[in-house]
Amino acid sequence: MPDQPDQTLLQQLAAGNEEAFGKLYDLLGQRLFKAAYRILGRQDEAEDAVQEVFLGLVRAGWVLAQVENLNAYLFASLHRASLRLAARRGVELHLSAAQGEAVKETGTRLEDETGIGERLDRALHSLPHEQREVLALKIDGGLTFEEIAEALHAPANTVASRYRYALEKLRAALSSEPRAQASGE
Amino acid sequence: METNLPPELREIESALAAQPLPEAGSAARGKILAAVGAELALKARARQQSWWRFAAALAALVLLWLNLSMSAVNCTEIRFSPEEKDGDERAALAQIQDLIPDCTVKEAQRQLLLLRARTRLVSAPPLPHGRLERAEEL
Repeated sequence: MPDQPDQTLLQQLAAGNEEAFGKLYDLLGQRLFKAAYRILGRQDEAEDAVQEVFLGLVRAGWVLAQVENLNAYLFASLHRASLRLAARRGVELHLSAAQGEAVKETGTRLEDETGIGERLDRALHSLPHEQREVLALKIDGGLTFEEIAEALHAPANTVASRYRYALEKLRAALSSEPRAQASGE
Repeated sequence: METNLPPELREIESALAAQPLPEAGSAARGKILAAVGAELALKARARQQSWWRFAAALAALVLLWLNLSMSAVNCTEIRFSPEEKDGDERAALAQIQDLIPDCTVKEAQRQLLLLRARTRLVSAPPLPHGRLERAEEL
């Protein structure tokens, strides 16, 4: 399990201690950002989503002292922020033309030697939002299925199924892509 | 609860985990923490304002309560029991009870109140000429 914020940090956040927010960012900022990036596909929006999560923490105030699992709370907040940002952009969180461009750009930037990066990105963004979100929270957020279930208000079994279906679809997409390219030639 | 994934899905999972994703820019930390600082300051200001509003409302309530209490004390004549009445009143009550032996103390007090009210009636202004006649005609 990746770094977990402790109870003292939670109390400091609830009290509005500014330094505690810095500590939390150092502890979880990058994980939140990566999960947001995986969901939204754009760096600027991923940063905005993380900022919204932190502002949400400030506004929550003493409610935070009652939070049992800050990880689940933060990623639930990230989930809502992502949906809001996508709504503001006026698109659903499926592959859109704009996102396709972003994916293409990402694929070019992050291409590895095997070329799997770009194909994986394309396949990832063809997944339904719910499945992509579970992948992001599990792989980039480092959450357990129980924590994801808490964050998304869904049963843990459903979350586990979504994860498995997502991986199966990715595998199918990756294995069919070379054939499709070959048939295209 | 973890799923038992077959090796081919584990492979995909590992590929995703190993996929290099961009990191939040170095400016992002400063930007986010500045926004947090501004929000905290805003919250503190709002809290201070709400404290003053509460204090002002409390002061207004205390003043109103004092005002009402003073008015009540100055304008209310409280009669607790017949024993507390002055000598005239007691004599008048005794006279009523002498005249009507069956009369209870409560009834005697009521009669005294009515008698007093009658003696303190404000004299009405004279009716304009002809109004009484018209009233009688009706």
